[in-house]
Amino acid sequence: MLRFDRVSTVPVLALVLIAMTPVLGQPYLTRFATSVLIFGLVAMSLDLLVGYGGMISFGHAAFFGLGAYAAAVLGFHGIHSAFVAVPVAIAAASAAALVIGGISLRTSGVYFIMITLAFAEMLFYIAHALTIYGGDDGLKIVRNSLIPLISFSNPTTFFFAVLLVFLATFLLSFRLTRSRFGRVLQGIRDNPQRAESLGYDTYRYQLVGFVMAGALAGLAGMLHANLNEYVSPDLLNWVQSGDLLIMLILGGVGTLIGPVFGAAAYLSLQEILSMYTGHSMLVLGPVLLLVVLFSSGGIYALLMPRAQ
Amino acid sequence: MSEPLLHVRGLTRRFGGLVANDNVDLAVEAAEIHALIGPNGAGKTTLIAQIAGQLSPSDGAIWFDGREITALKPHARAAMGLSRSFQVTSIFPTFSAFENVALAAQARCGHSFRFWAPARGVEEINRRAVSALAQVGLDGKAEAKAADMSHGDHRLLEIAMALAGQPKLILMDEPTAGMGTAESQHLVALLRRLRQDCAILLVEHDMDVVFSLADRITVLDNGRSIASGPPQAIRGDERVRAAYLGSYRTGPSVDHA
Amino acid sequence: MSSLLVEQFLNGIQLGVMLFLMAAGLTLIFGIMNFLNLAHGALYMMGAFFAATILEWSGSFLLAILLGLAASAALGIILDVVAFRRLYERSHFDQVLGTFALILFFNDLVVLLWGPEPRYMPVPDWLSGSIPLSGDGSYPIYRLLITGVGLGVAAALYVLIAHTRTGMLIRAGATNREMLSGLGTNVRHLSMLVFGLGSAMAGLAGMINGPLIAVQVGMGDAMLIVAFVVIVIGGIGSIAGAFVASIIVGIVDTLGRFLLPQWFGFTAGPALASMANYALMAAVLLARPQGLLGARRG
Repeated sequence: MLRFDRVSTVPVLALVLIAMTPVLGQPYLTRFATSVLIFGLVAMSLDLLVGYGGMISFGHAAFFGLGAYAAAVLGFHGIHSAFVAVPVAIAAASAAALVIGGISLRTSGVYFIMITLAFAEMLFYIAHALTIYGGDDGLKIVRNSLIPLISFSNPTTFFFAVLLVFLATFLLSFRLTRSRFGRVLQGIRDNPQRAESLGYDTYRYQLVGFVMAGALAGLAGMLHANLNEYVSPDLLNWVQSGDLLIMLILGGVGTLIGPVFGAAAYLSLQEILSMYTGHSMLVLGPVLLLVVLFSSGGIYALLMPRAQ
Repeated sequence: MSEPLLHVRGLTRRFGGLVANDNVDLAVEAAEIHALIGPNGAGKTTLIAQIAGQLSPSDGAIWFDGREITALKPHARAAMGLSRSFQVTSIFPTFSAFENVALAAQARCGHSFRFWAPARGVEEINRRAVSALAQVGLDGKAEAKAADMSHGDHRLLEIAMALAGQPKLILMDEPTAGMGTAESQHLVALLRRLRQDCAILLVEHDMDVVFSLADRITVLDNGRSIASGPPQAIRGDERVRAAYLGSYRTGPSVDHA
Repeated sequence: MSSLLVEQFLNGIQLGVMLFLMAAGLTLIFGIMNFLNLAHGALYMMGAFFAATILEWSGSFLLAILLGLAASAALGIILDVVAFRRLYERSHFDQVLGTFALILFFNDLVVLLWGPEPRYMPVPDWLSGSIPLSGDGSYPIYRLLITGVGLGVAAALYVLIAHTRTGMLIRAGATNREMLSGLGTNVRHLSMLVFGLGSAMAGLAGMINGPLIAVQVGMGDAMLIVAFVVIVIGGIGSIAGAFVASIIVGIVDTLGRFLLPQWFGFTAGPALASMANYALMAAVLLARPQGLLGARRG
């Protein structure tokens, strides 16, 4: 269990740096920073699930993609208000998480990994088959507006909106992990049989955790759809889920704030490599394998001072 | 006679052709230490598993605190005050000792679907956790990470966790396993003190511990209960001698595992 | 109509047999080494590419299959020694991520070596006829043949596992890995054997499927996920379960794609057809969480 008894300076500084990106006046960088925050948000939700809950889901992208599609489909039907898009995205992702989690959490271990993977693929195929919403080609959307005068089309405005959401979510997640619910969830992660014999209905607690993580992912998805003004079925597929897990392990599992650094690192690496080669995975693949084999604690552990 | 706290009636469990428990009757009174003994393979572990709710019986019923619990899941039984400690240490390794016990206490302080307030701030939980740790003598090591503690301390932590929920009955599966003489005696003294607060159903192989602690003893052999009664009666029982005790006499003799 | 149905049914069995070749390797490795290998789909893909290339060089289908099998097995063993071995003792999370990284690597490798365009493997002349079905339908001999080959492999696998000493070791390992080394078995050699075997089977599935579908990047990924569904339905670690589940899933999937659009139109139909496998998996899980023939593990 991580202790935040002292405010850790280096991660906070790094976050402040990210927050100051628009000051540089480079729209490309602002956009990149927004993307980092959005992926940091969905990776944070995955950290709640994996790092704190011990539920290794290989289908988290499904909720991310669903949130994105919710925004896109609403836009397709002429509804552009963020006041509608946000709750609908969260509701859609939560509903899916309730069903998928409800079934998957009856299993554990490898079964759970495979089943979450399978269900996410199912949603991917459905998105593919729904040609009315673009099918394989995806769907374009117009960015949402908060109130008629403040539209998200201004990249700086949008960046700060996303930053606000990110910080609020971080605060909520932080309190969650230290709450009674958080303690139970981590106990179930450590030793489910013992938790049950203490009196906890482990299925129910894990399901609530699963749905909460799904809801946050849906929120991030809605923001992503707004950033790119486009959604496609690829947002739902297992490669996307795998990418999220990679951001998690790069950043540090069980740290909440680590994932945003993992997202920054992964997205940066992909950008840089794609400038030099069309086959970035030839390099990244083995690098990732090495990270898996030899890392402990990810970037977060590197940033934290030695004494813990 | 009032209803016993725990009443096992005609409990039977089959595994295919093997009958692990055969029509077992067992009663544990409140504020009693009841020992369950018998040779290896007699069905003690199976019986405990059924009482805890991990295994469902093929036949028979279990009553606890006036309610039939035969079909209740393990967590529901724990919520009723039926606690257990495990033979193989089963704790929360990444938690501190305090957090382990606090989690146990928390289970009996209402539901835990509370998402905002810090768990460490709940007075009731903290009080119970501190008290349980003090009872087993681990209060000095509250902040130690559970995974780093010694085996003996793990056994004490197990018991603290079982206590923290202020249970009515604790199922203890070989609590002295792997302990040296001094540690065992410390544990026996602890269990004796606990008798006021809760009943204990104790599976044990160490006969010294059994005869110095138990108010009553039940003997299992080949899945059946062959004798049940106060220690003197059991010691003198011919069937029990033949099946299990052999030439056991009072006095220091049996070596500890 | 009915000969069309028969044709689809036979296709379903053929798909089922191909799925079994994938699933058997996966479940074997998991059963013995407790290792979840996401990169198994890459072996399917590589098998197809090896065979397609050898076919282009040599013009001989048979040679392509034989050399392709050897290459697939070799690739599997190399991966075992170089990468997988270090992951056996790690958590499933690490295994999943590590093998995932390998899939991404192989997908890019294939594009580098073979380019992004799909390759085609023509069915050899001596296999390209059809046999007539009842009514006025006909069914390609090639499809019947590969179904037969798959069934033959399944039968050989059964003989290996149930009736040989190696098979006994495999079964023993599936229940209790620690016992194996206690018995003096060289677990490393056993794992290499099982990996080679599983990889060869996956590669075989890829290469004999080659003439039916395009040989292209990512072809293994979809197959892999359906193989997972099969294993979950059949029960992890059970070869017999994998076989039963493969056939069922193959038939449900194929008939679903054929019938559901007819029943529900071409908007809802394909979407429902995509869900068929997963609905089946969900149904099995709700009734029997350990799968149809899986052992209830702790």
